[in-house]
Amino acid sequence: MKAHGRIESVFLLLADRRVCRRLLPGVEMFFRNLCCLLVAIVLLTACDKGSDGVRRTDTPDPPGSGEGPVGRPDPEQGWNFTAETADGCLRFEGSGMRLRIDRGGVLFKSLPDGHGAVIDLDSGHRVDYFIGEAGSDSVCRQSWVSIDGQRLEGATVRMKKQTAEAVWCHVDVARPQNGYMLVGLR
Amino acid sequence: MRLLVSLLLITGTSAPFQTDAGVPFNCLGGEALMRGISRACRPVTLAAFESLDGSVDDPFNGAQVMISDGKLPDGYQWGNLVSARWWRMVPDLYGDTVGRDLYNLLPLGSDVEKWRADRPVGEVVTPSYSNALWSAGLGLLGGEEFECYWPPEALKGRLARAYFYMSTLYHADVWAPEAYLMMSSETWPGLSGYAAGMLVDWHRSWPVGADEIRLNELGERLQGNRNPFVDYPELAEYLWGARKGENFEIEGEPKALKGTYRLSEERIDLCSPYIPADAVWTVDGLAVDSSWAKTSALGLGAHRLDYSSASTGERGRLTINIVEG
Repeated sequence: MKAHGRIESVFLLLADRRVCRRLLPGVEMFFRNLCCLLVAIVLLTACDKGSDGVRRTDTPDPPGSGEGPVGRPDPEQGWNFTAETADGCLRFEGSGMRLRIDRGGVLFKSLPDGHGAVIDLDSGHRVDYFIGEAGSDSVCRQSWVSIDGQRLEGATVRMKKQTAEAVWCHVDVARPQNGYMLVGLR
Repeated sequence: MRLLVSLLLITGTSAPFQTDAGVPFNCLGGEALMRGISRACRPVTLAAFESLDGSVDDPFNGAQVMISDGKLPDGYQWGNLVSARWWRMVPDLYGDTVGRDLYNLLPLGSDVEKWRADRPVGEVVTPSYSNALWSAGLGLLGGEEFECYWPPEALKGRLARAYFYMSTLYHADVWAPEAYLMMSSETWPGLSGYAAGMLVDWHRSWPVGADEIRLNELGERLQGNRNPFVDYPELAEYLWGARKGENFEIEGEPKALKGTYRLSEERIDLCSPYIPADAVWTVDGLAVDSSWAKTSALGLGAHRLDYSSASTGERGRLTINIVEG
């Protein structure tokens, strides 16, 4: 019985394949047409957006919605941090890192001498930093940032905003990374 | 097992001792446990060699070594259980701490320094040196020959715990080439699979002895820290052994803060390896007059925790989430 069953199965399989072969050209044509149509729609949409010219007023992304950079390139005024500095959420974000106080389990700590740390309590990953005094060019001299004990070489820390409670700093590092936004306790 | 440290008389001033409430890495697992131990158990200071006096067993030669004001007899020098030269690719990371940490120190005869050098541990197949207690030469691993040494039996347990301690506290992303058989660039496990298997076996076969407990007391007085693998031998199982990856938990001890709590968890202990033990807390802006908060009293949702520490002057903030369950 078992052997008979197996032969039946093989026959059904062969029959199915024959049917499939007969149907295949029609199905293939349908999918080809559909693909062409989709490509055309995508291209038309892209052209439509590109024809607007330079967007002078842009709605900022919701704070913390992207992975960085932190700041938006403005063709006339360089980097624009309006949205970043309007967001008071303590965070260290950019280049794939995303440590935010509203996530839960992310500790932000600071010492009176300018040292601070952001630590993910669930994994132990940490960012340590020292923010020096900001000069007239907003660059904080002698500042440094390290991620899991590794210093970010060539990082420039620029003070973007400070209040009695917190500091907003842009940590600029060599390309291709886009830098980080650090909002830490003061 | 012979006593490795038979007598140590301490002179000079002892180091400031950092006290932490409970076990700050309690209830952590995997990489977080490794990092938590590293954070909580670092030496506060380095012991001055001059503060060491007494006699110590030399497990490589079966002799007693007299130490006077940190000075060793002729033919001996201070050496390391885990070679400090393995950290030479990252010289600025820990300075001379890896070579001077008391838990990695022991007097070594010149023959040991010469033949053991910076070799990893391995079973010696073709010895270039051997005595009744130990040997050095060529070992065989996966069909490849490599330079190694095989330690004296009396040292195996302590050596395992020294490796646990050094790989946990002094992680490096880059090692000297000869270290890679034993060490890993990953924060956790920190040790290679080969080393972890062998050392956990030794740790089980040669458990913590009175000499290591005495060394822990000495280390606590001189450099302000203890080897946690001596105090909590089961830690090794959670990092590399049978319970690898599970959360290390000591019943009755406060549990380290985490991101998410279930409503069914009774309490939130306000402690962490990263927060000073004297921290004063507020939860959702209200002062907390104990070292924990009741989970059900806080209720579901996100809660803001703030602290300040008088001892360090630091302040900090985090959010915890309480969820159903």
